[in-house]
Amino acid sequence: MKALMLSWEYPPRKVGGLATHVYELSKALAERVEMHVVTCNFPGALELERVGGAIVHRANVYSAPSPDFLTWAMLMNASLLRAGCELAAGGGFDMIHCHDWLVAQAGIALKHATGMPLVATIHSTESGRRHGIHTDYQRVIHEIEGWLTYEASRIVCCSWSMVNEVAGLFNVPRDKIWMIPNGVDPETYRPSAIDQPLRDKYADPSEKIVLYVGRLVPEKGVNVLIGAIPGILAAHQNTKFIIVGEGYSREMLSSLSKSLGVDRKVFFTGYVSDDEVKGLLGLADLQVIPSIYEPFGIVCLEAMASGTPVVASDTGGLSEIVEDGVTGLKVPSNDSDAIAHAVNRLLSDGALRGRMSKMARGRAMGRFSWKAIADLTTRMYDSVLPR
Amino acid sequence: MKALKKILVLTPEYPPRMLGDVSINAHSVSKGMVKDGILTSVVTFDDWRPGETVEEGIRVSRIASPIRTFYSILTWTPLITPEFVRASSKIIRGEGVDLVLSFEWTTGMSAMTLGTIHDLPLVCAYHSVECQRNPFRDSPLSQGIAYLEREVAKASELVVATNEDTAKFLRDEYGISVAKIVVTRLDGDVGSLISFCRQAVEDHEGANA
Repeated sequence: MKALMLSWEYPPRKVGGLATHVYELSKALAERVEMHVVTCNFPGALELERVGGAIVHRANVYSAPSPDFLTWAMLMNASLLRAGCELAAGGGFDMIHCHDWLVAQAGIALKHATGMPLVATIHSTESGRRHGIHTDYQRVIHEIEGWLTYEASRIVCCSWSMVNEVAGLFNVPRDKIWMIPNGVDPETYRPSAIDQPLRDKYADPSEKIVLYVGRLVPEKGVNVLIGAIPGILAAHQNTKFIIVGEGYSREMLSSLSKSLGVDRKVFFTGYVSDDEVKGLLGLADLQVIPSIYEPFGIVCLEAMASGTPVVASDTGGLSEIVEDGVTGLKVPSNDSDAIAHAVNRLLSDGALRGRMSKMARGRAMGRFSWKAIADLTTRMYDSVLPR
Repeated sequence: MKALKKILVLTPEYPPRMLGDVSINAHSVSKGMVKDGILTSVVTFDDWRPGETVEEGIRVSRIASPIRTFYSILTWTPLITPEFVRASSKIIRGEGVDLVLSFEWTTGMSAMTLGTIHDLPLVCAYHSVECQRNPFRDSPLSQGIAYLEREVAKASELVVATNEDTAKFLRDEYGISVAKIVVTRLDGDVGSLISFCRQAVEDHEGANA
């Protein structure tokens, strides 16, 4: 079997969790399938390289001037389509697999040009991210998502919550949707000794560390976490909050922490390397995932695999990953008081943190291994091949 | 030597949908091709009349936009491409095609896709280019359109300009080789266009030999 995967993100080009997903999935699939990934170029990245058996083709997507992101995305598709055509013209491919609306147009055009079946992973929806569709800009994206679900022979969603969302929004027959969760590499994310120089960079020796990792955008609910900080500091004064990630909400979040008088206790790191994130997971006392909308929540799984206790919103995929009171604590989404209460409970109880850390890693290593996910994905591929 | 027997015409407009000269000329060219004994299929955009018909001996496939919300011409064009490719691929897999003739940049991406996947020679026709049409040619929108125009022209075996001005811009602004550009009218006798297309088919076969 030979598959052509399209994704606008692939390391080192990382915007959200998609890059890691495509990297790990294509690597695991390459043990079963001849895997070619067509993606965007990035400064310093090779135009063509083999990554753990998968062959990665990077197309030049920055030649065309664009007035805005949506137009850029469309022209990026034109470049990926050309690269995909040149690859597919060589023959031998059995299917196309595209990730999200951002590569829908290239994937659908390739499907019709080559006659190959198309499968699509919908990682999140515009309606979910924006709490509905409010502008023409959002409506275009929403319609592309619907078009992709219509054209694809199979849709992959990473949680049952997403299965329901996609089926409901786009009237997709349920038997067309496969629930295949996201995964985590238990070797990459594992309990580790505290990196003392890294700890010293962010916190005093006496301070406990509460970590957030993710994009700084409204649906991630970082404002809800910041809203919980006064309540946490009231019980645990010696606590530092490390906010890792970038996004257009950063300035607003920074202002919020100032207005609440907690800015001295909040450290916005901006974008940091994967290695530094792993180091921070190793030294944090706990991680909070305060999402308001979360199709899956890969950062939660990475924390669990690292043995870092989690406090997570009881929403979307997070509800399915975390077993409340066993592998972490779940709180209602958009509820700062609930976050403060759960964080205080964990910070006060070292034994509970220890138990949850062990249980969480065990759960992450079983159901969410990339091997198990690649097995399921290969079965899904098989289901669309001509009999 | 392979001859030009079947042609696929891609055009953003075709009668009764008429926005400008492109519609009239695509019609005129298609009729001329049929008169010359060439099996002619047209794929065009028409949101109000989607479907397949045979008109004046020409097989016409009209496609509709898969996205109802219009954002800009530069997002609409890539979004309509998969539909052009779908309708065209059906024709290519059915009766076969010897050459793709695309009108204007809006159908160029579809033509490039079909040319690469099905190994077909490509001829593109320009009535004008962006820097002639738009006084704000340095705007990102205008430059994005110019980028696509240039890419389509570069990927084509032959570039047809309907006037000397357009030919000059294709040469000077887009760096298209003079040897690839022909200037010919498309609104009357299309004998010379047919000769150019025949030559493109032969050249393509020669390059593949």
